[in-house]
Amino acid sequence: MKNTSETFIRYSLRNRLFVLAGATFFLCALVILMFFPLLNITLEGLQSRTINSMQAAAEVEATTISRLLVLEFSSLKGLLEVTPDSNTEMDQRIKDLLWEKVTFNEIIEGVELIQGQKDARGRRLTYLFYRREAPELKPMAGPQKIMKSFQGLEQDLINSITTQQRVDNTIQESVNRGPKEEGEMLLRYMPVYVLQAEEGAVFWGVAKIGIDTNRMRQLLLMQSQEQTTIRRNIWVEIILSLLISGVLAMSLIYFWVRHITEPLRTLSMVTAALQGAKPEDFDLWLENLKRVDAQGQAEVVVIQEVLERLGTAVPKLGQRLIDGEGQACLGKVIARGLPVFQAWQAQLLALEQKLGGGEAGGSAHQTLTLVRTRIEMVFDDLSHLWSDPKDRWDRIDVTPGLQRAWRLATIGLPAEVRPHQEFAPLPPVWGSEAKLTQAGLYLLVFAVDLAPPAGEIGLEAAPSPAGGVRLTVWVSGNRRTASECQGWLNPFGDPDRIRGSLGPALAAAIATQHGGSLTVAPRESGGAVFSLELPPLSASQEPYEPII
Amino acid sequence: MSHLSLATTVLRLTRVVWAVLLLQLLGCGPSSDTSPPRAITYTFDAPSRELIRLLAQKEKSSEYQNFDRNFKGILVPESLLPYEPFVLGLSTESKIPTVLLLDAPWVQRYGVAGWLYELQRTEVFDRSELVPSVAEAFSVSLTHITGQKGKQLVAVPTYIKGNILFYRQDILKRYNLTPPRTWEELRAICRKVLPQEKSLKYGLLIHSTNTLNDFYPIFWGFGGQVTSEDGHFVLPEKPNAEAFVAALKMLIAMQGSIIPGPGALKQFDPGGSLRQAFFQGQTLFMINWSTRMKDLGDLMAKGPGQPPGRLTSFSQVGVAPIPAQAGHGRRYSNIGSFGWAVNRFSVTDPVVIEHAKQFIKVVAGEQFQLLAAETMGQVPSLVQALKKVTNKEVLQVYRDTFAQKDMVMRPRPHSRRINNVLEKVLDEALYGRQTPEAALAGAIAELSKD
Repeated sequence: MKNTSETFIRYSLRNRLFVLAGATFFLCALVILMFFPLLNITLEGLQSRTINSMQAAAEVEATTISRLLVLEFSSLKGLLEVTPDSNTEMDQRIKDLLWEKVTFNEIIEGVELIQGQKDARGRRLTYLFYRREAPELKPMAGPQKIMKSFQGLEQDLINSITTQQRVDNTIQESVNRGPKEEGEMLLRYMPVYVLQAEEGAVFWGVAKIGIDTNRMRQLLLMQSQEQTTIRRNIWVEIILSLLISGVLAMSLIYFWVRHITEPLRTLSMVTAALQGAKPEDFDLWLENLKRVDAQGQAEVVVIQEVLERLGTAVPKLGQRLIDGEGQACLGKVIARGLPVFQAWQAQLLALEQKLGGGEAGGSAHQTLTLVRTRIEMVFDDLSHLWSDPKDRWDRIDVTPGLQRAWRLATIGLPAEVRPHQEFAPLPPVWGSEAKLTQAGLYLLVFAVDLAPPAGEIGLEAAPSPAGGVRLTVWVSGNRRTASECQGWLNPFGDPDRIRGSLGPALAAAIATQHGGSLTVAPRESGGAVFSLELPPLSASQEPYEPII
Repeated sequence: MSHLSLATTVLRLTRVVWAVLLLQLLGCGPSSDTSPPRAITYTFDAPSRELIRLLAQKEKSSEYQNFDRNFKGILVPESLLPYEPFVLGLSTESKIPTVLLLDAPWVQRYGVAGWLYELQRTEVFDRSELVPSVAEAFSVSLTHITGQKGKQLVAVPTYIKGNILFYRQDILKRYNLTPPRTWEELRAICRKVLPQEKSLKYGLLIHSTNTLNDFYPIFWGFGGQVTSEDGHFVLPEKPNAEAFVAALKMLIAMQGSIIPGPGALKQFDPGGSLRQAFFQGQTLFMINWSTRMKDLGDLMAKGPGQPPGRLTSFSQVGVAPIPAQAGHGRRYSNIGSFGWAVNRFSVTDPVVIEHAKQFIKVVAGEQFQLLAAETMGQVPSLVQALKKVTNKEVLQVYRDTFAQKDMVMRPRPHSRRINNVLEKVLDEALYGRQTPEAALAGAIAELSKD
């Protein structure tokens, strides 16, 4: 029973629905969680695109600022007149202009104006001024006019501009990626043309303009931090959403599953109760079955209706079974006693012939009388068992009935089997004599069937300690287990056992009907002991209708 | 059962994962840039705009009617033009304007500097649609920038213009003479005709102002060059210097007998005086821009009231390439065409390229050039347009000059400084203030200062 219960819990429809709903939600949660890596990729792509576009915007801004400066320088016609040795008003004007541009425009880190021509040592006339804000750089005293040599990629870039008047952006990017002695900034190199009415745009040299990149770096840092925060917040929100929706979903699922499976569960429990039900509980079980609320579930209604039909049919079938089993029991007694009856008939004929021939003496008459008495007794016993009204209840002494049952059961008993009977004076009990006799016969016939050759069988009728009657039927033989003995009383528990005798079960039913009980236990020396107890006489004793 | 269930579950999970991934493709991914394309900018050109207006009325085509909506013209203040403002813009990588109308020498200058977008390689325009000689003049070598060998077309000319030799066809026919191929032939013709044609005051007229434009094809015809193809100043090199002196000496030698002497030059300073003199029958030959054929037609159309001996019919006018030195295989024209070029720095996405392509298709297309040929007497630069032109004078100019096999169209040096200095020394020599050798030495000295 315990195993059955665990199995039911494990595989019940309700539990299965709970497990499936939980698994479905878990799968959905897993799919939702899969969005997080996608979100991460999207955010990284967004960051990458943002960085690129910000860098592009910063470069465009740097180019625009540089262009504005170069356009302004293009109107400095005096640039064409300056020489490395000159110290004219134009030199001072150029330096002042650089100071103004760099000092008052936070975004301009510094400017260099580099003449296209080189001197013999490869140096170029250069006007320069840098703000040098970085702590590690020494600030410049002011704009300077110097002869400056350029090295490496920067030299290549300036050479390409002075020879081709074209900015090689690849070299410019390389210069920007490398370390800069002026500090960290975005450098722009542009050709400087001086506009002359007669000659048009006359190339002068190169403008090198440093643009502040701190702002962009701060923006990038801020954006990176913001994205980390967004990522964390979204992660928390997803988890919280899943938790809340999980609790909500499971609560609703629990409610609905309980609601939907309740009729089936109730029906199942009621049906399962039949297994341990006593015959007298059958009506109650049937009543409980009828009271199961199907809640309109078609499947439950169908099962309920079928069970009700079966429940109604089973008592009727049981009654028929009892009737048939009683007749079968008598038939078995008669069949087993047939050789004895034939022997008695032959003996009777022989005695009658002997007496008819006048040969017999007084002992033959006595024997004849004895045989006739025996035959009459058997017929009388059979007649009682066959025709006594079974529904007549009264104060009775069970002794005559039990003795009749004993006599019938032991007719034809093999000679090796030793019968023992012991009848003590018994108190009267309330009941149906025919049924109690039948119960005794059931037990005795079953015991005779169990008795081995040269075995023993016994009947003991004695008052019970409670004041009733205790009938003990025992038989020797093989060792029996308690479950085996119990199985005799419950032949329907194991469908295989139905093929055997129903006697003990019917006897138990009769005992129960009389308010008593029947127990079976194995004997220590082998065999089994049936103990049928009847309650003492009571005025409130009411008979029960037999069920099984 | 368990294996089957596992496989089914895995299959279902795979479908879910694919569905999730497909969501990205269905619009859950990063948003694309949906900003509307902007109209491209171009340098405003009044004659082109007028032709577009006429085409919009005539053709009723959306590409002409929506021209101003799709393309925004930039009006350059006239006061700024001498300063070459676009040099500043392009040298600082400005994206504006997207398309520029450039004189042939500027195309060379901007092209070599890498400021112009290649048109043939990028399929903006097919060079084979152009007359080869003019296509060559609008092509530059970009090997130093792109690594591509050979010349790349960087601008699309809308018409062919160059200086050519105008002559009195009726007079040469009368003397059973053919147009001169060399200067010797020209001089011989003059020596033969001028004494007999008393109405002719001059054998040849060249411009007395901006003489350099006329001098360049003469100088090139003597095998000289001022700048190399990559823009270097090569005049001081011996062959070039000798050619310069020889060409100048040749002109000076003709002064007084064939071309006006120094004293008579001043009378040709006013604009239009050369074509007026040719129209009035004062000269047998004239070096002038090819577009002067239309101007001569306009003068002839004025009808009565004109002096006797004037031109009355186009049949009296012949055109030929400017002669070259005897033994030199090619004759030259100083190209005066303008072409549409694309600013390399404006090409930031395919939409810009597509718009630039559409723009060039409109302003340098067949319909445009045919209208310009019929109304303005311009010689189309498109081969297909030339096949459909009905204007006889336009066809005559093309056939007798630009289509000649030995004709080379070459832009003058783009350096205004070089041109200004050479113009100055040319005047000095032609006015007899300096010998050709001294004039050249002075020019080389001044131009080599830097």
